[in-house]
Amino acid sequence: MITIYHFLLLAFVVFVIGFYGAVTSKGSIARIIIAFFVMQAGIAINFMAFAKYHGDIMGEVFYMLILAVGAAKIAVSLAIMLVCFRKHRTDGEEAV
Amino acid sequence: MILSDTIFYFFAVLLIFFAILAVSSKNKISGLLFLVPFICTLSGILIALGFEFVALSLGLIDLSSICVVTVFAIMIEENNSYDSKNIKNLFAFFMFSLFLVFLINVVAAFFGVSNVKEIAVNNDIFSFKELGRHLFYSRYFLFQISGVILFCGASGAIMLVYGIEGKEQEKIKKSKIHKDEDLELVKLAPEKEGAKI
Repeated sequence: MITIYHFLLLAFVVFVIGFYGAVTSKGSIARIIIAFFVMQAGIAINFMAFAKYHGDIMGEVFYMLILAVGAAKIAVSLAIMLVCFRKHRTDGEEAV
Repeated sequence: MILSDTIFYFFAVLLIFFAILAVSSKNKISGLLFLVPFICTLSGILIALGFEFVALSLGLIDLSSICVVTVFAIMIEENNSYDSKNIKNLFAFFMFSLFLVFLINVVAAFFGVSNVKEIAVNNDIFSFKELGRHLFYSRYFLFQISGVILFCGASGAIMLVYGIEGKEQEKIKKSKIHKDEDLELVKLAPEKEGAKI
């Protein structure tokens, strides 16, 4: 039987994988973006599992807002990536 | 019940597998491409939970942003280590994983895990209509604030890139030498005949 703990455990594992990726990214912005996507997935599972468990739509609403902020995050990361490339000819791996 | 359990475990294993592949792959572009089946698997889990609208928006927003980041990463990549065979293999894997995940998503949509005892609730509150009602009536300011943050992020990104470009153009302007200001024309004496250079 699948309980909420299964979902929480899955979210935790995914978040830890993303966190590990962010820590070991060596400043590369593309790798940081990948790690943030993975971490965001962990957060999504957490929100949705709790929303389902409590029967409250707020988890879904908040995740929609997080998606919008995530799109802004991607735009800013792309700009930083471009600036790093213009200045140092890398995407931040050696520059940072 | 057994089928829904199996679907959840399968999705969970697949999600962790693609997450590890995305994070640990040596090539950035491969890592970004591994995110595509990862996001599709996540959408599958959300569909199985009964959040179809969030799963669809996640697919639309995240997959499009991943595509943009991948294009930028390919443009920036200096060492062009991709030959045609590599690209074909990568593309074949990409298409296969997409097909697999979408197939499983369809299965999950039919036999979702939402009928499980502890998670089972009234599914009517998660309908599109209810979500829209909450967003536009109950959480209107939050919705507006997220829009403002998105706008600020996009305009900040443009300003960041444009600001650097403007500074570089100023440097180029400064480095230009004007004939009247910095150059002095001097008449040189004619070289002697037969002189070797």
